[in-house]
Amino acid sequence: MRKEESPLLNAPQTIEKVPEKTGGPSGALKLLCASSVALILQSIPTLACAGGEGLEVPEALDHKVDVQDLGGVNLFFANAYNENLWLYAIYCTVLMAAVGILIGFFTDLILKAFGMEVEKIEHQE
Amino acid sequence: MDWGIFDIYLPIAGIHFNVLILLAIGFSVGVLGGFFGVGGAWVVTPALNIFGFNMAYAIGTDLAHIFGKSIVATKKHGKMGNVDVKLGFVSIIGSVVGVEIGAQNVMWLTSKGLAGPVVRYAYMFLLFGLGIYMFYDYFTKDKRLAKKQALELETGPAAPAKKKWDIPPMIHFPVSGIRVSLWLVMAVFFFTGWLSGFLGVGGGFIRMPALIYLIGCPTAIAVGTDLFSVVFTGGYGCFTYALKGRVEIVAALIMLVGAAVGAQIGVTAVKYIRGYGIRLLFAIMIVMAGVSVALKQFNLTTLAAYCVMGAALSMCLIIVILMVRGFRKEKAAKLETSVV
Repeated sequence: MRKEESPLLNAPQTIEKVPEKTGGPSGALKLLCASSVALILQSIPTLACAGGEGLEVPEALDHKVDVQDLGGVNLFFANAYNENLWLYAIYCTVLMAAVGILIGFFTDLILKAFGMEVEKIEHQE
Repeated sequence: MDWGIFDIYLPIAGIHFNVLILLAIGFSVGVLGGFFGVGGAWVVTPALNIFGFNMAYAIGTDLAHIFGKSIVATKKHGKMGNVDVKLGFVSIIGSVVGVEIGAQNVMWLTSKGLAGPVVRYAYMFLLFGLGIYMFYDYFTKDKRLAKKQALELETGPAAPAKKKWDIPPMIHFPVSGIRVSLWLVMAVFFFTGWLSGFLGVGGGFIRMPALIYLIGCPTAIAVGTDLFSVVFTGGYGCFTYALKGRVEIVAALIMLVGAAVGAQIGVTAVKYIRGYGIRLLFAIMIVMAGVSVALKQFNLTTLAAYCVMGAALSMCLIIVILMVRGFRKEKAAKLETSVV
């Protein structure tokens, strides 16, 4: 008996070789330029929006963390939070990017080991 | 609820929280984010809320983990050829102006004391309207294709019709394979930005269908390009909320561990699921989000949070199952080819 095919699934994909582009600025340079201008544009405060009743600009919290019983990483973050919020914001942003990339890299290796590597795909609708 | 060794102390929020819950929320929203190209704040914030996370930190913590997750997902989508950087960049420019005007409109409504209900009803209208349209599009696709093929058989292959809104200058997006009026692109992103500012949401779930239906992007490219924009909004959001002391960094890092793994799985699933399949699942998800907002409107906040979280977990499970089935199918096809 023939198995029913799911209408949601792609047909097994043929890996499409995309010809390399020549001339013009490199992909990395274009990405860098686009990213830099986009980052500058992001300096409009209200763009950082998230769920709620209409867009609200968050107010700063007037709060100090009690560091008495803290140690290790917790103490490190709590001190940065209490003493210099700019430094804390930089830690948060850089750490999120770095940890994300690191975990992404290792997960990619694991998925590849299972044979789930990704290449350029054909876009089927 | 005491979970023993899984309870950790979050120093900034000053609360004990279960690490498994953080990982699970991160993982499920990571799968959804990688698969649909959205940030997922509409799932995380109510989910954290029902488990007792301090709301003062919920949005900032969510944005911080979204930033890390979207970098992972965008990188992987880029590898699959799903990110149109030029289009993503144009989308950010158009959205900025729209967001500002949308925010001004909400402020005006707030001064009249109308913001809450007007925004929620508009949000529900958008979610249900979009969901229904996407369902209609999915279930009539075969009929439309048959009609087009029949017409082509009669008259031969038709040249692409010139659209009324093809007003010069035209702009070409080679990655998406589309040529479209700059005015149309700016108008669409201005509108999605305005909605995003008016509704107070990140806007990923509005941009993704707009890229498909209004700009004409292939679904997988719409997902990847939308995530590219989320990297910037998430990055800025993470920084600005942290600067205001509203990011619980330990919780965000733990959620990111789950989300980075989930995002990889979500992106990989895009390889195995057809564009229309992604659209159908997205339609289901946004209708469920609409139901959740409707429940909130009737003051059933806890039920609303459970509804959106249940939908997210179920959708996450469906995506993983479809990915595994697609993977098996691909493996079998490869095996068959090697035997022949």
